[in-house]
Amino acid sequence: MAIHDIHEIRILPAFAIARLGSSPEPMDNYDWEIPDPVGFRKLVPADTFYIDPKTGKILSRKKPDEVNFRDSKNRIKPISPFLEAWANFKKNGPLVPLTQKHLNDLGLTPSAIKWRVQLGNNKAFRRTKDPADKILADTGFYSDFIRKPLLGRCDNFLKGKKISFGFGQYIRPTPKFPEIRYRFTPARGYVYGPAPTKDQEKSNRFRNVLKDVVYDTHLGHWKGYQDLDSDPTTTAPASIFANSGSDPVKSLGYLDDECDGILELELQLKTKTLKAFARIVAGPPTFAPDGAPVRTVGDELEQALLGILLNEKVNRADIENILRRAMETVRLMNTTLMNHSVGMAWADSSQFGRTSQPIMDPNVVDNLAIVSRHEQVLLALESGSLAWFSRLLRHYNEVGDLTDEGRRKMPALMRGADGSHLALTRRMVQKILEAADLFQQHKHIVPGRKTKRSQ
Amino acid sequence: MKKNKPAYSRFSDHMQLVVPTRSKKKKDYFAYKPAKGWRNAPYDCLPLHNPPLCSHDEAIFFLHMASEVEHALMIQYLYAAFSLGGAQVPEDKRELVNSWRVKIMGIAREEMGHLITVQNILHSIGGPLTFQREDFPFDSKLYPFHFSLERMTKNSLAKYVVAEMPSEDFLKKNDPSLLKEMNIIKAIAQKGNKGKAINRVGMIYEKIQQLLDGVESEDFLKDSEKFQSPHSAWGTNDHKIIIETATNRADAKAALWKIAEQGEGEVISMKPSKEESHFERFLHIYRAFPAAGRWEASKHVPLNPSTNLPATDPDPSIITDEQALLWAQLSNQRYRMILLYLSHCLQMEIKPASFYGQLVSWTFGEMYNLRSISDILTTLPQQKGNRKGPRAASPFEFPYNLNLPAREMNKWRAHRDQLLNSRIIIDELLEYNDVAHAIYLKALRSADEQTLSVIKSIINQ
Repeated sequence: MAIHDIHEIRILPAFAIARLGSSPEPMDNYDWEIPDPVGFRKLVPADTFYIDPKTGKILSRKKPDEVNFRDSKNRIKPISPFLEAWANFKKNGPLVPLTQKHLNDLGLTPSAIKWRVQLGNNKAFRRTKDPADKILADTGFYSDFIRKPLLGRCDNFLKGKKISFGFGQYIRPTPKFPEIRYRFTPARGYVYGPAPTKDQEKSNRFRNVLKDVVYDTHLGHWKGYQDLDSDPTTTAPASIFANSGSDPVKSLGYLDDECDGILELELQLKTKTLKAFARIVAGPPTFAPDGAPVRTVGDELEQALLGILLNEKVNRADIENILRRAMETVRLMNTTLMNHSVGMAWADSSQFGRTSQPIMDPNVVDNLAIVSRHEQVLLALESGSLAWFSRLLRHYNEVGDLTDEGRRKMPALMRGADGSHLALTRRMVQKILEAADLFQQHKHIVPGRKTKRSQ
Repeated sequence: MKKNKPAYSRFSDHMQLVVPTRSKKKKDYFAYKPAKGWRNAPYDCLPLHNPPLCSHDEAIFFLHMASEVEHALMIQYLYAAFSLGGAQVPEDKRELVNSWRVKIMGIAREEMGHLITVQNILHSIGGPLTFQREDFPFDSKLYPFHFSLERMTKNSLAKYVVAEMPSEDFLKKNDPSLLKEMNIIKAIAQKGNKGKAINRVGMIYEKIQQLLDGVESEDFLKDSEKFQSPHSAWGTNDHKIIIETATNRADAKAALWKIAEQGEGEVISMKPSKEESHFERFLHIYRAFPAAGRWEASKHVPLNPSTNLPATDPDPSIITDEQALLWAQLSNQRYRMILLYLSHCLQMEIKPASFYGQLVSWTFGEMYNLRSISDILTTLPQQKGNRKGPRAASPFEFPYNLNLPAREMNKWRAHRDQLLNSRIIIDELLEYNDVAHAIYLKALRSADEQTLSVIKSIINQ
């Protein structure tokens, strides 16, 4: 059915995460599968679009034979998300993918869609507070289908120098794939910086690090920068940048090609201009893609969006997801070491002056034993008898509790963004508490009918 | 010489009662006079091994008894807690009933802590450990009441309150009105115990305290610490769970005192800020618990359920529904696994890379499993062809023995066998079209496979 108007447009997903990679081949799609209820997730290939880089057309959609994060030259494939235009055609109407046909109905072509990408890497600016240290890229609005380089410029760079944040491409709609899409391909994961000193030039450690010399130390002060104890805006812990390692800790002036920003879309209709935007970010590759951390940005966003309290019934799948992520996280931890000499065990004594003691009993923190404990928790969830689990959790206001009991709460041995012991978000804790209440309710069930077994 | 008395239990076969003489030699327990008869002995009688044993051996004898009592109480409390709840509980009472369930499960966990502490003290004086439990029913002047797995009722609660109560002397001195209330509860409890008076568990600990005074100092072994399980390994970060270690007389007595104060001791703390003792927790539940004929707080689960084949006459304790019977057998199997894991790791030297941590994890895992399976059982019918009739429940039937093989590798083979036994039952259960529990069973089988692979790698080291 032909449409006569577009009421509203959106870009979905509203927030997309790209991951750096030096391969020219973008990463294929994959899904998480859970073949074993108490085991780890498995990655399985999923339908993937293959794009002609020159025309911007989708050539095919197929499932790769296997999931492979590196290309034939062992380079990491970048994760390059697609962002789609969605629209509703009347007030409170359903959101549907916007297609070339819809545009045609309104007498428009895909060129009526205009895209703009603005990206930034403000890591140096965040510390130096010098606006001239901001690295910014802006494509301006455009509507063609060729790859648009996303070049980061900075007032404190040497003349003509830029950092590539990757490229964007408006995907040309075709009869077979008529949807309006944009693809963001992030940068390759390079390090940039100021000219190395003579000493650094002699050292492999420094000589091979830099992709390019971009930073002008006569203009900016990122090289040699120090975090000040008196500055409340520094990170905790401070000085988490490439540094000289000496005391006082000074920045080497390094920069990377990570970035975040906004993708905008504009569509000019006869009587109005529709606008939408989405957020995009490029981060480092994941080296444990078959699992997820126990607390993620997704959890933060959910809490920021929906609040700390649940207004709806707790979803069992959510609880299972949290517990599975806990198991996946602990699988990657050297629990024996982290229990007494590094991480929080170290920080409690070195930063807070606590008596140096292991967090857990050293005899029971063997990694295999800890993973098996987490499996058993997942198993208990399967039978709906997880009521006791909630009392082991660390609450948000207990992250600085350095008593034996406080240090042993879950999640254990991990550090939060504030440098204290990690707690789940208040919303996550609320979910587990509510699930614990639900698990207390027992209902009669009718036993199953015997099918295969002989009577 | 042994007196002519009925054989009630493994322990009572070896004992006689004595009346405390309150003599000048207060610490010398041999000063007590033998009581006349066994059944009719006065309430305040103390037990003795007959013939008398040396202090060290008799301390071990009574520690074994304490261990069995803690084990038996834990199982009975768990059974009672699992029976609480159900569709028959009025909507406005569900939260209250749930809070009772949580409290009693907490007490059962604390009894587990007591059990481990008793094993630690056995280590400290070089005694053998024990994970036995007397089979029911039996009579003893020392055991609190007939071992009986029963649904939670006001009468069964009365037994638990009396068993955990402080001494009458203490109540007379500190809270006479409570003593009056307790006399009424004691009468009710006695009715629920086949007319027999309920014994205070604290008597055993009082006896052990005395006996430890008679143990030679060199019999408290300093190097036993590396075999004793600390709270940090078992306490699940719960300060209410008391797990103490001891390498000298003072620590051993202090540990027993702590257990007694929390649970079954002669006295309870009168400090306003203290944690509630088991006695107080049970008493509070008892006071709020509905009397018979009012609303029902617990499901109709059987008295002393059993998986034994039915005799010719119908036996109300036997689980006859086929599916429930398999679940009950699975429950027994997992109970056996807990006891074997526990027995193995509590006897090993504790050191990193000794698989101690792994055994602790598996023991906890089996506790979760037992709870899960018990919850499932109380949703299933007990009797074949009577789906709306009484519910089934975990029978906690004791394994034929708990002996682990002498060689370390063979201990792991014993654990392997338990997993294989369990798999047979799980596979049978999976043949039922029971969608509600298929995921749990498959997950359990999968977790067992992972455990098996670890055990096989230990065996093949």
